[in-house]
Amino acid sequence: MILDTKKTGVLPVSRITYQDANLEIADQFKKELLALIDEGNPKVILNFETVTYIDSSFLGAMVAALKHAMSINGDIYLVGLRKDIHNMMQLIRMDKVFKIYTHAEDVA
Amino acid sequence: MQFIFNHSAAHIRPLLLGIEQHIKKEVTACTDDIDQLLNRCKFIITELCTNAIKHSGETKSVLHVYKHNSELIIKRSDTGKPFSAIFNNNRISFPLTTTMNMLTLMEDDINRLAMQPLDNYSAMFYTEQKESSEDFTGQKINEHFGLIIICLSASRFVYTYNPDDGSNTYTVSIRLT
Repeated sequence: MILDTKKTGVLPVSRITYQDANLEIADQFKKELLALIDEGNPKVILNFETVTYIDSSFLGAMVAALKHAMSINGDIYLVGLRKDIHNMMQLIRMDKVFKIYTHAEDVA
Repeated sequence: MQFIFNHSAAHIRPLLLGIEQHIKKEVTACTDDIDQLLNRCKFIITELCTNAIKHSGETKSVLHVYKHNSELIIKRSDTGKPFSAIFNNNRISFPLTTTMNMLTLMEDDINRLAMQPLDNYSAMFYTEQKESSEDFTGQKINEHFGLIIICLSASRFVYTYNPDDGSNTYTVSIRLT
């Protein structure tokens, strides 16, 4: 499993369990996230605290999942991003697409 | 300095670590912000390598990383499939057979990726960013970011096909400040 999901608060928090968020796991990640959304969780918090780098394939999978979530009035919130990954999100303006917070508790 | 990349996702992180050490030694004195430079290099190398795995059809690439005048140069070369892209529902591939103007390869609400052929054997990539609107929903966002990430991290990004040996070289330059 790529996502380790816990439901202690209002929204499920899914921690990405791999350090390398890359093309090798992008398809499986998307499959797991879409399944979670379709199980009645249109709003999901994705926790990146374990991730040390992210590539374009993984970003593509995130965007595909976000589009699916939004189509059912859901959303995907990102937390625990390292500074360099946050910088990349800003560089390609994905910080305008995803809602980014420092901690899961900050997501209202 | 030369680095060999075996086309495996598992090889990207060790490769990044090796190149980062080299860049620190080579250019720390030439830049005001080594962390920002290293970040940009990390994004560029990750995407050059990811593209190689996905599209080259080869098992190995050679990367060269070096300082040239006031720029850091990152080159990745392979002898796999030449660069190709879909434009107006047609696949264009190198070497080009006709003279072409700038081509928009991808456009969404945020980014436009374009390619300017320099001749039949080479092209430069560009990215233009748009202002997103207040009611932006994310539904019209493209899911392909590789070349855009490289363009936005680089000062110049050029592809060259060598017809003599069938090699492809992606050259990325970053101005050192």
